[in-house]
Amino acid sequence: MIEQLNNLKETAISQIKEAKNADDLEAVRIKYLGRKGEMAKVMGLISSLPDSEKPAAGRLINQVKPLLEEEISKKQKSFTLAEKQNPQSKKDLTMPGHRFESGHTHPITQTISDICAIFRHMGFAVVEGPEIETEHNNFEALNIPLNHPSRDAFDTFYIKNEFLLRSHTSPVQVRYMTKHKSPLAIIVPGKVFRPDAVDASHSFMFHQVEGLMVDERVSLAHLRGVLFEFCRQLFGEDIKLRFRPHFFPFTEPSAEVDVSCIICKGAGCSVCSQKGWLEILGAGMVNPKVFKAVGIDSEKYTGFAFGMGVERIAMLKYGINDIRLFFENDIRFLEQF
Amino acid sequence: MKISYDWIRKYVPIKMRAQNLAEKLTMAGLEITGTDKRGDDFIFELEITSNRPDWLSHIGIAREVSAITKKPLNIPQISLQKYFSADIKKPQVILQENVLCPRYTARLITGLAIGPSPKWLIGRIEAMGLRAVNNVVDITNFVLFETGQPLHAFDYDKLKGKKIIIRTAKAGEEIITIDGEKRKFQPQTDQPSAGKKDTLVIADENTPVAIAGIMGGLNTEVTSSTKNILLESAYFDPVCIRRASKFMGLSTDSSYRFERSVDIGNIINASDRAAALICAIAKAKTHQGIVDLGKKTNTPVTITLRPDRVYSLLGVRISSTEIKSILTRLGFKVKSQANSIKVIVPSFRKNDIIGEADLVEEIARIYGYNNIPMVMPRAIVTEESESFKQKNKITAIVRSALASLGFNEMLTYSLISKDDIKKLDMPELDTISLQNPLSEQYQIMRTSLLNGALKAASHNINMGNLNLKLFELSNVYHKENNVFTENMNLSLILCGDTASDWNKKPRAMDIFYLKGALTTLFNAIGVDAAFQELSHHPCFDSSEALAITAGNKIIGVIGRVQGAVLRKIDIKKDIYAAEINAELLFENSRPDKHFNAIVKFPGSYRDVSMSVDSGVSFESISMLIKEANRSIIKDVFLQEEYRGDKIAEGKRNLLIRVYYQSKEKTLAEAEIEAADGLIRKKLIDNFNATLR
Ligand SMILES: [Zn+2]
Repeated sequence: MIEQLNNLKETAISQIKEAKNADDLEAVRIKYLGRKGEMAKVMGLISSLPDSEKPAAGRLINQVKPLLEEEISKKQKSFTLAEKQNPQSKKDLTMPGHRFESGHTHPITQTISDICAIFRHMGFAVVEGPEIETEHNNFEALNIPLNHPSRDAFDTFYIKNEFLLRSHTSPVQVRYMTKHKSPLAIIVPGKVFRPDAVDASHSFMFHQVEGLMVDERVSLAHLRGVLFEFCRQLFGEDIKLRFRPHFFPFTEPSAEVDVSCIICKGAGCSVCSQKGWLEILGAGMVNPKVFKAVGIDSEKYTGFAFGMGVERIAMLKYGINDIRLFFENDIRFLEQF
Repeated sequence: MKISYDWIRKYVPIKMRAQNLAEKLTMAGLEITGTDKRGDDFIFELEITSNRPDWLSHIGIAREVSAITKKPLNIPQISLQKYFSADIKKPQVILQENVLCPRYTARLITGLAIGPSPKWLIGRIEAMGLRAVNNVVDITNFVLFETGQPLHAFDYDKLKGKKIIIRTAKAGEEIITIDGEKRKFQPQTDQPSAGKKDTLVIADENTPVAIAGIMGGLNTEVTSSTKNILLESAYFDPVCIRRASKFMGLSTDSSYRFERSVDIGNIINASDRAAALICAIAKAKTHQGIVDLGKKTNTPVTITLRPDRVYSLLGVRISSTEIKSILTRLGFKVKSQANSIKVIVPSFRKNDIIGEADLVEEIARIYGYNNIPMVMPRAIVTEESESFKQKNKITAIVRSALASLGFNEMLTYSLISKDDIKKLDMPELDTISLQNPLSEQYQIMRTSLLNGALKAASHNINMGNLNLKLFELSNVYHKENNVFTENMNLSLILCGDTASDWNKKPRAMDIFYLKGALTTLFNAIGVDAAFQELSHHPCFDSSEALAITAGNKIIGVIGRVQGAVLRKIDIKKDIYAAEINAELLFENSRPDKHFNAIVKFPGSYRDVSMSVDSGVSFESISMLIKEANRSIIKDVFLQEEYRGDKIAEGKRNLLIRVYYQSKEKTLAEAEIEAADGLIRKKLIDNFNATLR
């Protein structure tokens, strides 16, 4: 028994030494130390030995097993070391990881979705309307009469008779207020069209987001509160807001809203024409004439509305200098968002 | 519009720096877009909104400056009496059109010494960017910029019959305007809607001598030899002037003001001011009184303003005292009543101040918009419609699914050209065309997203971006029985190879790539769609085109863009594209997921390798296999296809893997063998397959 164990030890050690690689070594380990290996077999024989031989055999087994384990571990380390020292088998981890194709949603879609998400959190519902509109919804109901200079700001593509391509998203206000009871708060994203020759800052097709809130005693102070919250969430905590009186036929009072320049933080730069402010929104209190056109009692309800150009916001947010890039669909552009 | 800072200071005693004033005016709604230093003066460039014609003058701006700074407004006093001469008779004026010209005044000034203007006057005129002409013309321009009232001086001796008739132009009549252009009067045909289509003119006995409110005639213009003038100061109907100006393509300082409406209450004042200056500078005389035709009385508008309404619109309490002070400074007359203020609107604001809300804006402007607090309103929860919520949810999944498959989202123009439609052989009948397109290039509302997708592909290929995967979710537009419809479509376009790197060879993207992407998309939004043969599509090669069906309807098409189309758009690469009616797609979408219990019993597979006639479709083979034993055949996969010269002509080799699994038990080897045997028998019997 003892002799058998000693022989086993010798052969095992020599086989460990002869192992050429980790796989060989593992085979040797299983052969001797595995659950059904040689050592296990020898241990199984102990019970059949006379009692006087049992302790010696037991001791020897307890010596051989750790000895083999140590030999295997040493050999393993030598392999690992050799592998590290052998440049041929070493993996070049500076090689790039595998490429995964990933697509990108359009920056305009992303910006619309960002804007809508902010207003959704404030309780506004997203609403859409048709791009082909009636002259009534696009103009008359919004207090922009025919042959009035106020129409100059809204050059429009006409289709025929009373139909046109909407020049702003405001007609959706008219549609929604006509059909729904107040109070209400909606946000309206969509495409709009104006016959502007295409250049770096003009496009005959672009996107707007329009907002409207109608309730009892909604005020200009509320409009300021909502737009400030919106701008803070979109542009950051340190943004400043400035309201300038302006004229829109569908709101009274009306304002243009500037934010402190997000590029220079108000110090003055080329993006803000050294003014430190960027105009990004038109807003105001719903004109009682608009309420009248949609059948809302302007004595009971007041409301505010605002609108913004999505391309302009995206251009400022991402530092894009040419509006045409949005519609060229060059993948070197699209893949940056 | 240009405003001189120095000129403003003639009417309001302000001392602040020009830049400071510019800032204050901007914040009160008079946006100053530029400031030019001109000697000791500053010239502001202003953008005046269309509702404020009263700001189109120095006195108008000065009134605003006075309201903002609380400094008094000093309007020049006019004394004309010393120039009256009893020898001069009032001129003869006939007003035939008292709707288009509600008020017309005329005055005769005689014995003129025409000559260059004094230095101060030339300075003012040049500050406005005009060239000084002579003292009379310069004074009419000066008064225009001072008061906002356009004036016109006719050479009285050149008026045939020594009379003025205000009438509409007769078709075919002509005038040579002072810019030297010969203009023929025609009925205005550019406005489809009803209303007067005639141009208003000022005529002498024979012919028009001015296009009313727009430009005077060359024949009667004031020259160095002029001795006597007829000075016109009038109010023309704004719509009439705007239409004529647009129709004739002629816009002047004068028409700009008339179409926005001048102050009907200031017509005589302006005439007096000009007359006094002309008499003083050109050493002339005039008659007492003035020819004044049309509407002379002008009932002032009165508005009841409730301070509580000011509060409910602005959200800030402004005292009645402050409200009254602001309005008074702006030229309104105010009177306190029980719970309100009676406000009388001055004539120069009668077009723009109509209701209470308009007054509230005036108060807010001067109070300062930025002095109003920022307050969050009470939350109003407005429900989105279920259908919209569902659509929104699906579009979001579509976008993210396609992006995760490596597709980039594009946005293309909704407007295309007739030529674009022809290139794709699309039907032209139901297209919507614009009346006033920017150019032929953007004249038609697209009926397909493929035009834009191919343009995007072409642009990228020309830029050297040869591997493309793009999609778009946008509207297409149709005309059906004269009703305009808009429908959201989904387009996809492919070109080139899959991404490659050191461990992965590129693979040409083909119709199967696109089909696979769509299958993944349909799974993501829970659409049970199938691909069927497509007999014809104008854009696709008939041998590589499929219809996509769902809910028994064709919802889209997929295919290889045919060579003839690619040649027309000058693309030299293979392009695969798909277009799907997104609304039908969404109708068939069940995006809500349901869990199916995972089958506990292990499955296994058998491969079937065969050679069959090329005409036998994979789909028919797959159906046949599934029918062999529906209860245990879980799936059929195509592992490999081989066509080529190593096998007989007209044949192809297929390697198909059949997955077996039961929900009830672990399948016995014998059961699988039996099914496999049946499959092989059926393949031989039905398709004459050679099994290997
Ligand atoms: Zn800046």
